[in-house]
Amino acid sequence: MGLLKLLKLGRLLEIDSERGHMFIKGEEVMILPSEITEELFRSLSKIVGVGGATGSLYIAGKELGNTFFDILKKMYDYDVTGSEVKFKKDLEDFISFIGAGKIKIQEIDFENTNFVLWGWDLPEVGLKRRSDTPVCHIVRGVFTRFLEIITEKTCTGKEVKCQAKGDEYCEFKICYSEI
Amino acid sequence: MDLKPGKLINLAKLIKIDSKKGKILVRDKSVLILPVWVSPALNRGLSKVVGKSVAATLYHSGKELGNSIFDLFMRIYGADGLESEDKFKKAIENFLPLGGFGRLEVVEIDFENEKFLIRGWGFPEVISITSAEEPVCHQLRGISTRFVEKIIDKPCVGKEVKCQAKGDEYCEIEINSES
Repeated sequence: MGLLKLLKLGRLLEIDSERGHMFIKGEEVMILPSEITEELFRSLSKIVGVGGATGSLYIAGKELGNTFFDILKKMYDYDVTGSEVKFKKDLEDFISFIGAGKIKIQEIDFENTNFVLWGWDLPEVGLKRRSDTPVCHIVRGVFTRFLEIITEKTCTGKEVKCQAKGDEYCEFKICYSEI
Repeated sequence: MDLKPGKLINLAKLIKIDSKKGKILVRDKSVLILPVWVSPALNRGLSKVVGKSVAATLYHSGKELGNSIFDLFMRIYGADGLESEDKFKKAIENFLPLGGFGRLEVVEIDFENEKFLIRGWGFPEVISITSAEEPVCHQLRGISTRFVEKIIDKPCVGKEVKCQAKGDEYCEIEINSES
């Protein structure tokens, strides 16, 4: 089960035992239970309500997008002026590599600032299957920032389907926004 | 099980990869590999929305997350002998660095008076911050407080009294039972 991916992980992961740190291509990483995203949402909701938590995590996700994009570039020698085909392949591989589930990019058009992704078993969905609204706020922020970095335009991301609502997959639509 | 953080072979023994779902499992628990910049990026992103409440939010989400991390800890080390101060100290000091959280030293364990003191170097939340006015390791404070709560089975309060982000030599977290 996933032996090749395990070997790849072993090849890329460097450990500084003296200081208790680990690195992938020089970027420091850590290992956390996937529940971190659900716990954050729960804690935030108690303080700022569900609406506030949704907005906060989306904004936090956009901040995280910068960091993830740096790692993506280093891991795959990705150049922002590179091809859409390569980006699609690299990003789909990267999401599984970090253990965040599976994604498939359905539409990718940098010129027209358009990005549609489907996802399965993303971290924020966790074991939930009974939410009334989509829950993948951090992931939505991360993907939105990716398109912003590549196109150098302000973008908005929407999650139009979510496994937490009972949909078969999560679907994100990201496009240019004037705001 | 005596794990040394520097031994990749030990980590590899614990990790399984579910390629089909894009998941990384440690003892059957789903984990994520995240850049350590996640911590300061979350702090920044959440501060924009909740302002100073970010400390309480991250502390409480750290406590919630502590449940999952403690569960992982028990799956790796088991409960046997944890009531022994030596074994508890050794297990904690080996466990968190294994996740890439930095180096940790349990300075004081006093089960009788329910007092604990933990020192850390290179915690994820400190990354790149050197001139903070207040301690910044809110999530790690929550996680370690929940660990102690689980062990002594009583509600506790965690306070960070020194922090590398403020220029201190190390971070220091005091944990006491609420009673």
